[in-house]
Amino acid sequence: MTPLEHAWVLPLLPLAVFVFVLATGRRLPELVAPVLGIVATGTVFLASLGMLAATAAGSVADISVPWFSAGSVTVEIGIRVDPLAAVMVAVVSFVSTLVQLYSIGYLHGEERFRWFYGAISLFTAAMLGVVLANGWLLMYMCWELMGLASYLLIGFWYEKGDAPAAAMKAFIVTRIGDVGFALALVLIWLNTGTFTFEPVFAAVEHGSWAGPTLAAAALLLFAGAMGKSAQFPLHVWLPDAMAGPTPGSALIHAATMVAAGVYLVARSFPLFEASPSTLMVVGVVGTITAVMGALIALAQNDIKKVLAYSTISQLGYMFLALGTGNWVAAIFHLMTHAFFKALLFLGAGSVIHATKTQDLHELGGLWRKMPATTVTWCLGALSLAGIPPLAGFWSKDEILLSALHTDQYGFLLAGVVTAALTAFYMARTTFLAFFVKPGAHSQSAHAHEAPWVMTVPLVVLAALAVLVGLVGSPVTGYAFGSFLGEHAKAHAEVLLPAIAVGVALAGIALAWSSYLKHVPEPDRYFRARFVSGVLARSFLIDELYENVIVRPLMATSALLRRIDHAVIDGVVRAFGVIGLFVGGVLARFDRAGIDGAVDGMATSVSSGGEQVRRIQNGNVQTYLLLLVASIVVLVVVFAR
Amino acid sequence: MTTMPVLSIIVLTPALAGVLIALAGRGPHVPRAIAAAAGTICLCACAWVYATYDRAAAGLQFIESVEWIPSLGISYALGVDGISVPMLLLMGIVMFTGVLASWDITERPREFFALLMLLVTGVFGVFAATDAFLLFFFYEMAVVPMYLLIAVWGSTRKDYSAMKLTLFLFAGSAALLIALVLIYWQAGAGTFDLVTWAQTAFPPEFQRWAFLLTFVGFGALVPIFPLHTWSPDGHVAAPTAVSMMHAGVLLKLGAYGIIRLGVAVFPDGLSNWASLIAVIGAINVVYGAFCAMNQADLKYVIGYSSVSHMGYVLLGIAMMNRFGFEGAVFQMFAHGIMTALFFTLIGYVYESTHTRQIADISGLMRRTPLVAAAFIIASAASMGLPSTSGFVAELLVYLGILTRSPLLAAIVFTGVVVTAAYLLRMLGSILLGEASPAVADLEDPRPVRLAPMLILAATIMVVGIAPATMYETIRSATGPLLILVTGG
Repeated sequence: MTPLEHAWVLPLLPLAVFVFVLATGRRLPELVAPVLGIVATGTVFLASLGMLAATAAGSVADISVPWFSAGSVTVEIGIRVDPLAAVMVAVVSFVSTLVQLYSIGYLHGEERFRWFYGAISLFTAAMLGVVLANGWLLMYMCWELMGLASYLLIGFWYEKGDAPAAAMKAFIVTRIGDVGFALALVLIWLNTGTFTFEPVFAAVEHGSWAGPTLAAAALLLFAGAMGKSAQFPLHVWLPDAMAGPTPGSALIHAATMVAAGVYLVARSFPLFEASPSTLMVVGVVGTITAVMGALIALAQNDIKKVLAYSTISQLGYMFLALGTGNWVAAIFHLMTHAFFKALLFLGAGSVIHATKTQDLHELGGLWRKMPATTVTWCLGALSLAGIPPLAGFWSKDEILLSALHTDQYGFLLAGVVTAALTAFYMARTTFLAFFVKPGAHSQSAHAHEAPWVMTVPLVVLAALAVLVGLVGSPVTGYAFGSFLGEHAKAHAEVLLPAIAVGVALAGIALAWSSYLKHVPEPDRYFRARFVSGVLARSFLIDELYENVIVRPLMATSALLRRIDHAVIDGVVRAFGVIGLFVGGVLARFDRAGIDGAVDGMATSVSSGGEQVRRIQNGNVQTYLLLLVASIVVLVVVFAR
Repeated sequence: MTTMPVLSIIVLTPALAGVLIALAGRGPHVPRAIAAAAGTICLCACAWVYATYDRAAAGLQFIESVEWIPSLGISYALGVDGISVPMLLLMGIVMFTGVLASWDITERPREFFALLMLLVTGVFGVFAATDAFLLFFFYEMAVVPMYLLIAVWGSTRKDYSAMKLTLFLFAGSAALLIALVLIYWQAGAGTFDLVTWAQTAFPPEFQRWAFLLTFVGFGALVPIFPLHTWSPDGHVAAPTAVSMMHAGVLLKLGAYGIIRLGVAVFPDGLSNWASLIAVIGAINVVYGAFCAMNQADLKYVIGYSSVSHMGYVLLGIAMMNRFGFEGAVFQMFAHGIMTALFFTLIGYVYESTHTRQIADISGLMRRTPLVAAAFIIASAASMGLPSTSGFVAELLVYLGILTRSPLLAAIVFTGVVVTAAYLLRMLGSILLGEASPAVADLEDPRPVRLAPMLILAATIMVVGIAPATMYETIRSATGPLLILVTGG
């Protein structure tokens, strides 16, 4: 066995922490939980460095074990360590480690402090399983486990009003997408007889699997990705998921889990490449989501909601990249986004921790009180806005170039517009939270900088949000792309990046003049009906679903229940009533018969009538006795 | 060792225990101790059968046969194959856990446990019998105590529900009795031996109607739409252990009977009616799920979810392909364990809070984390989430359905989403939020009541994570069955 083949151990480390925390409960000294969690994911991160080095040197591990088998059929599960998996393991374990460190401060004194670490560890284990799986079956299994962990973390404060509803919504909406994933699993199996990536890709390459079922499988996989990655029209759960603790949101609902959909499509890319129309669907859905998310983010006044819609929008960006056929660009943006969005969420957490509010209009002037948070936040925001030479610039640039080179100008235009909108809403949020003069309702007065366990992760992530883009830039000769196995493409383009940066700067400038230069009256943009009535209410999609899907479904359910009771059970009861009636008639006939001449025929009929009457009177024991007796009679009759 | 009549031990131990209990004193201690001892013996024996069943050899094993009514060709004949072995294990687990879940019964414990043991003997007997008459005999033996257990120890409209259940089941029995006599007469071999029957080539027209008769007769027990309304009522009225056995195992008797007597003896009959069964199965899945979403009583939610989940068994059978058959049997096992767990939990909560109304219960996560965790595991299995036994079962059934009909698969999949919706609605309401007044004094159970929850939850996880043994066992029997049906 090569060292890489031992990678299956890695997900078990956080899983063991989960089990241990669950088993020990309150007996566990409080700080042991984070220590164990951090040691586990930290170990995974160190191992992932080894994996990066080994896979860069060209070694790949792909091993399977039978899960169950009978006769000719063997269902296998296994792991695959290649450059893509190594990158994902590194990102997940790294962000997870930092988030757990940060949470020591953020959740200090929280009643279910240990439970948080249990849930985070469960999530990390599941996500590592997703990215290490060498086939769709194991991936799906871990995928659902990840969904469960997400449910538990969104519902972490389950006594709070909106958390239970949000957790349920997240689970059900992603489950709709997962139905697609499950169907895709079945299609893959039926067409290839295996769930493992490599043989399936080989079948696709040799053309032994092609045609509509292949396209259908690809689209169904994408449905799963849409649910998990909150793509329109399944995006509605992610903003509500912000009801969970902020560090959990940072890890799961920003940096890693929601990006699993992007990973799924990137991993399954040969299936999509084989039918280009599916890639078009991916690109269009991504584009719609990118623009829609950015537009909604413009009009949010809750700092976490801004980031949530921003995440939706940026995930759309990644799918847009996949739509142009450039999965490397999508993964590159996934990586940079993981760092700067985790940074922004943890920064928002720091603000919420200090001020106990998430409303942008109750903040302001925090830069004096929280210098470390302010500086790191600004670096994250600039990175997200795509300002060179920060990480977000390089990955966004890569996506726009990809759209340009494949002549997909619709995607290109949407990408540029989104870039402008992104710069505007991030600048608006930054100014309102950190730089405007605190207003009358501001909670900033007593704010103070967070403890070191919280600021250290911020600083580390900020460094990455600045630097990590370089691995995919000309400075390193586009090392990231060649590491993942795609040859560097022609990048000699200056105009497009210049335009992208130009619109981003314009967005920032507009926000500056609207929110900082003039003392802002309570958000004059909100006077526009479109902003306050449509954008702030997220295009009313939630209301639409409520009226068009949820209510009719509930009504159907109520109706069927009533039908079940009134009609189907009604027939049953009608039989009872009729039986009672017939029994009564026969009983009367019986009494009349006793007065008259009783012949054998009448006796048998009347006893039958008596029988029915007795049942209806509840004297079923008699009936049972008779039944047993009649069996005995039958036996005797036959035995003769 | 090989000559030990292990199946007879499994079948007769509960009956013997029932007699001993009936002779015991009035207090609760002796009856439950005897019942627990019988449960332990049966569980160990079932586990032993499961472990030592020769999967490679397949076929009937652990055969015992004694002539009973020679003139009719009726024998006391026992034997198990790859379908009955998992069912025995299921019943062993549900019996053992059911006895523990009834530990705190104070009302007439002697009669309760005696009847429970009689019921258990009946169920074990059905799964072990290879003689149609014996099977029917045991089947009736399981149904009779059911009535008394619900009518005496039940709750919520118990008289009505017990009566309804009994009438439905006896209506089914009547159909079965007719079918048995007809088959016996038609086969003309002078035997009730199921193996002989399965080898007899019945005329197609006869197969067609005899299959329908057995399908309806056993189907009432599954329960098939529209003969299902007795089942949720029965669940609701029954005491905990009886609910566990009712939903966990009794419904499987119906499905088991359809496979054993219907499919194996009348393969052509199945081909004839497969489309109808598929449609009924799909209705069960979707209709049951929708009905479950709108219930206020926890037991009704699970009762209708059983209607929904048993639809997968019907669908699997109707698909007439390997995955369908395997999935159907796997689902019988998986559903049995998960509903037994649900009813253990609901029973526990009901005993101390005296309510099962979803609206009255909230905050269990806070009050009783272990009960809450078990609820989550049971729900995960019910939703078919991976790493639970429900996932493997549903995956197999889906593989079966999609091979046959993508349209049907699409319809059934709406049931999947609705299932997630009603379970999460229930979980969100009872587990989350602040503890409601009703659960204010509720605490996590003491060991004897916790044990059944742990055993059932562990079974769900173990079979879900390592399904190989269970799968191979089932496959050893469904493989030959499929050859019979497809003639291949």
